[in-house]
Parts: sequence; structure tokens; C-alpha cells
Amino acid sequence: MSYYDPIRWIDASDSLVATIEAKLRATKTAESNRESRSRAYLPRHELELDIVIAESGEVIRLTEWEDRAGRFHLGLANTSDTYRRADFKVASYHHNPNGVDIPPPHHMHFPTVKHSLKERHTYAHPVSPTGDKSGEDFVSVLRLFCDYTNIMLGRVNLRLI
Amino acid sequence: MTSEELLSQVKEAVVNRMRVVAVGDGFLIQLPFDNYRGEPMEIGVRLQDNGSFLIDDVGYVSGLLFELNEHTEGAPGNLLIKQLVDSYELEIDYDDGIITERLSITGEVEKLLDFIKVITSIETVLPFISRPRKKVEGRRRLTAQLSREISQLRLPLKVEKLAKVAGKHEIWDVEYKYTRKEDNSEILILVADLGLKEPRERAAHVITLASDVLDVQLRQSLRRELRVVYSSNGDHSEATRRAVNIIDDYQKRIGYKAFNYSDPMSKSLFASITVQDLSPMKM
Repeated sequence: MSYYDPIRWIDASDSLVATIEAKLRATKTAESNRESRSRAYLPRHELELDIVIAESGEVIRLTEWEDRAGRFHLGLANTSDTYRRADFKVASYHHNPNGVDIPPPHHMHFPTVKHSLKERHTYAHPVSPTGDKSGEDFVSVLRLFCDYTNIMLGRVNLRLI
Repeated sequence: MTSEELLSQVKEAVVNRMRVVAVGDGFLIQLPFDNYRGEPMEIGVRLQDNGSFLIDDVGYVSGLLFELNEHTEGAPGNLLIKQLVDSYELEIDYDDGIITERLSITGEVEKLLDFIKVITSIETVLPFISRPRKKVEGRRRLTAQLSREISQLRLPLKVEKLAKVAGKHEIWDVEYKYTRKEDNSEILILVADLGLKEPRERAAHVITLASDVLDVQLRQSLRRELRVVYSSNGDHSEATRRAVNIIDDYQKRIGYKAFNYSDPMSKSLFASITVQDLSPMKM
């Protein structure tokens, strides 16, 4: 899989944000792994990557962090919009605005015209493990997220994460 | 709805949504409030050897700061956290990325409630701290962009900027006005930037202005044409979408032409007819 189209999860009266989905479909490369712990208040286990959209050269930001209960949270955003947000190893259902419940353990939030990711009540779709991307540890969660969002991790040294 | 039914609903929302979940070294209190991911806010509780217990935010505040790019020293989000933590005498554990407070096992309920209040407030407010400001400069940008492109035609003297135009009932300001000699038409260009505070008010202004200026009986030899150039500046809000629909839908009925400057095809069409109008042969 290189891009997951979440259209089937939303109501007919709503639609996906075309400009954002175009960026999700586009080929993207993870370029760098920043180290920014000094003088900042950060989660114990965190990762930040620059993601470059091949066609436009635009750089967006991918973040991953782990909370104390062992759940993983990822986000893909530029300075003004959040494109995707994912929660892994959660114990509870996510409730979509159209009444559909997404079962645990993994789901990914996505924006629609009516429900942007700036709102509290957002749509999400389930995320299923594929191959060695089990979604159980920090690196496999990252791989799985990138699998759903068409991001190539080839230039990132995963052994250092 | 009876008062009993209302009471039952409130209890359902507040009391029944409180949960306590066991985790490895303690438990999590799930509050009846959702965070910005739509998940319940949580407080972690861990018993300590010395008869005290430690409560924490499960690392959610540091994660939220990081995700919002507000984690660096001096960022507004980071400053807010520090001020709240200092005021309520909480601890920040920089190694583990959690906010904690140590409580004695014998009744410090007030401190627990204060901790819940602080964490709930932070998780509610933080997502809005880094929200980008409304594009108040948007109109200036679109107007400036148009001005630059029209001036490149090197015919500025024949184009009147910020012109006054008499409608049937009111005198209106439009960004540009010129006369097309070919058919003696008065061309008005109105700029509507929908990245402003209330795009629907801007759309309503366009409709009113268009109705008024196009309802004027001009001299028989003079026609009037209104072109509305609008741009949403990438704002995909519901309000902007409705404003765009209003401007597009009413153009045939009222008789103006609308051009979406964010759409390359529409922008190119506008540029093309303006260039044709202003070419030396037609002036």
C-alpha cells in the first residue's frame, strides 16, 4: 500500500479536502532526523522528520511520540494544516461524526471539508498491520504510518531511532 | 424532557464516563472530557513506597507541545505550561516528559482536583495556541497582486484605481475602472478577498454592490460591465465555501462575471480578457 483512501468512511454530504489528499497521494521522502532535546520540554521518546513532497518540494513535518501508557501518537502537518494524526495501541473505540465506531487498537484521523483536524470531533479510519509493520513498537508504528501515507523512509537510519 | 430525564442524562455524561483503568505500575483515571484527538483525558496514578502516591499527566502535555511545535523554550505553549506549573507548584520531569505531583495517601483531595483542573485546562487550550492567525492581510495581497499585474500592461493612466462608482442608490468603491473604447463599455473590477474575518459578509457586499451598480440606466451609448475577482487564499472553511458559492451562483442573475483568482484557469481567463481590453488597438 502507498496511500489509503479514506473516502468510504465519511458521509455522502461531506467530502475529503482535495488539496490535502493530493499531497497525501504524492510521493514523499523522509529527509532528516532532527535532534532538538536541548532546552525544550519533550516526551521521553519522540521523533521528528522533515517530509519532502517530490513534485513541489514542499516540506511538511512528521512527529511521533510515546505516552507513559505505551501508546504511540503520530502527526503529519505543515504550519497551518494537519493532514493526518494517528493513535496506536489505544484501548478505546474512536467515534466518528457519522456515528461509526472505529475499534481499537490503531486508527488514523483524517480531515474532511466539514471536520478539519483542528476540531475535536473528527473522522478516523482503522489501521491494520501489514507484514513486519505490526504497529507494536516505535519503528514498526512509523513504518505502518508511512505505508498509509505514501512516505518513503529509505533515507532515514531506522537503527538510530 | 422531564427533570428526572435531564438529571439522568447529566449523570450519564459526567459520572458514567469516569473510568479507572489498571496499567502496569498503577492506574489511569479517565475523565469525562475528550482531548483534541477525541479520546478521554487521563490522569496517571502510581503508588510509592513511602505511603505517598504520584499523579501525572501520562506525558500528554509534552506530547501535545511537541506535536504542535510549541515545545521549544520561549514558544507561547511552553511558556503557558511553565506559568501554570509554577502557580500550582507542580513538578516537571524533563527526562520523562511528564508533569507530576506527589500526594500523601491521607486526604489531599484538593490537590488532586487542582491537578485535574490544570491538566484539563492545558489540554483544552493548547491546540488553539498555535492555530494560525486569520489572514487579515489577505485583501491587501490580492489587491497588490492585481495591481502589479495590471501595471505590467504599462497602461496605468487609462485605468482608474480605487474609483468611485455611482449605483442606483449608493456611491461605491471599486478597485479599478476603465473604459473600453471599442464598444464604449465601462469596465469595473471589484476585488473580494475571502480570507478576511467574515467571508460571507464580503460576499453579501459583492451582491449588493453588483445589484446597485448594474441597475443604473447609463447613457444609451455606454454599457457597464462588472468583474468580481475573488480569492479564498487556501481557506477551506465552511464560511468561505458558502461565500464562494454565493458569489458564483448570483453572477448570471445579477449580470456580473466572477473570477476565482485561486483557480489558474479562471485567473488566466480574467488576465486574458483584461489584456485584450487594454491593448493599444482597443483603447
